[in-house]
Amino acid sequence: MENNHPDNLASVQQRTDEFIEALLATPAIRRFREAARQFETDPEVQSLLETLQRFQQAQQAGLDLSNNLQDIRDLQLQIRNHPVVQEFLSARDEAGALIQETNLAISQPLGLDFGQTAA
Amino acid sequence: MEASKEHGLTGSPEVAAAMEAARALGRALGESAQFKRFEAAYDALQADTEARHKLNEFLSHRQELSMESMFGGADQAALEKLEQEWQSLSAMPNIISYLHAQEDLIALLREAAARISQQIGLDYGAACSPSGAR
Repeated sequence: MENNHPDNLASVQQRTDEFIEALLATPAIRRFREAARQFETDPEVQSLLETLQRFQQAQQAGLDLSNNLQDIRDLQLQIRNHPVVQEFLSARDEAGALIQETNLAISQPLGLDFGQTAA
Repeated sequence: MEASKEHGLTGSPEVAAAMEAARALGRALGESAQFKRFEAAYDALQADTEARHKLNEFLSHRQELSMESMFGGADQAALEKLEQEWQSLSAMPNIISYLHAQEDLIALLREAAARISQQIGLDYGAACSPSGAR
């Protein structure tokens, strides 16, 4: 069977790896990776996220803490306005725009949407 | 695309290289045995009037049922009828090869996308969906 023809598979894997290398070298992906690293390691952001998670768990469990909703909104606002989070979201948007463009290029010879078919 | 101009995505040599690598990946996928087999199976299915008719009927019934179950629930008889339609469909040779070819192709695409997602730390498929990775 030509289904698992080694040349075909090797070529797809090789092209995939070359594409990954090329993506990693772009300013958008480099910025995103740095922003994601900051986001995941910033103690303030992580502590805000943990607090938010606790509030939400309490809410889901039906514990009706007074002012809970307002607290959640305040926290969400604090998180959204945090510079590390803002940079992360903005970098993710930029990376997403690049990814969508590359997806069009990958999909074009196939006549189907690569990213969405693989999602 | 507005966002790309805004962020200067086009124009940098790294981006040009990434776009070229994307096109090369698209070509490699298009030349893969999985894609060729899928194309052939698709053509065979298109030429098979009976199978195509049954498939369209099944898909439209399935859509109706999924709408109904969203708004309260589909009845058992309709579900059984759909199941029967599926049984008869999935016994047709052109349908069988189409489904297998599709499955193999999707597996190939998923594997590539998973590799990309894992290496760049961003879900490639989700970033491509209409709502984006938001």
